[in-house]
Amino acid sequence: MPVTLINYVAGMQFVDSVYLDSNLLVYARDRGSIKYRIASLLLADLFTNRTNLIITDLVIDEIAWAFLKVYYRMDNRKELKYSILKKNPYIIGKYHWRISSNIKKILNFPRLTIASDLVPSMNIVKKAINLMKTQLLMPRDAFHLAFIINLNLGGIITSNGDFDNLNMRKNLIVYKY
Amino acid sequence: MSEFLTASKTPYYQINSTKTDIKPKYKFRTPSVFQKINPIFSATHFYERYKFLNLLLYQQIMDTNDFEIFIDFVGGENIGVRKSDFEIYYPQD
Repeated sequence: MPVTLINYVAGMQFVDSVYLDSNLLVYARDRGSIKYRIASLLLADLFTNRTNLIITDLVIDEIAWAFLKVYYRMDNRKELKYSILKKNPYIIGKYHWRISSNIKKILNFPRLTIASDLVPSMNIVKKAINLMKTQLLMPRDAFHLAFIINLNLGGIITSNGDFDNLNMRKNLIVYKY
Repeated sequence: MSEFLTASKTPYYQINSTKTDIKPKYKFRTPSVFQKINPIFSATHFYERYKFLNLLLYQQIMDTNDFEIFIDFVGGENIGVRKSDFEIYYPQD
């Protein structure tokens, strides 16, 4: 069976275990985001369905970056450039408490697993490198998918289209919102 | 919290009333998680902020602890994150 795309609607049922992208967690946290409401509804359905929530440290890394960029932009009215951060790494310290506070709340989610160490790293790397070629994925997306495949997860929840055109035999549901 | 959540979804005030006629229909109580975060966070603000969520249903279905974690998490920031903020590659000058 090929990959199946499903658009999320409120009250939806999910497979037992799903991989969460970073967007969902940040959008649900930020009521100023354009997808706050749908992300919150989706998160509520995941909680009420008692779905197993799977993330990796890649997801946490993306969340930390997203919050860092937004906090910096709010304070300085400009985008956080790499060169700015290299010149003044103390910027990270300024926002560290807020970023870590948000991440701690995520780590407190019920039925949440950080699955990074559940699969040998060598397997992940080999799979990801292969997926970059066979599925034409960006490196980071290839690593996400490598975890999904190696953990034998049935679904991923994502708001972007990076996984829309997968062509593989694995049973995978891509829940879009 | 249960007092708030088991109340009707009727708004805190009578919609068609004049200002002087406004009377509380229910005495809402702010959920405990918000009392910890902000003791003056009013029940009316809570209702308005989360009225798009079916909190009554969630409370009935979710474990109590799960419900508290959920409410504590959603809407905890107002920062206007953008899609571009999820670009994982370092923005260049």
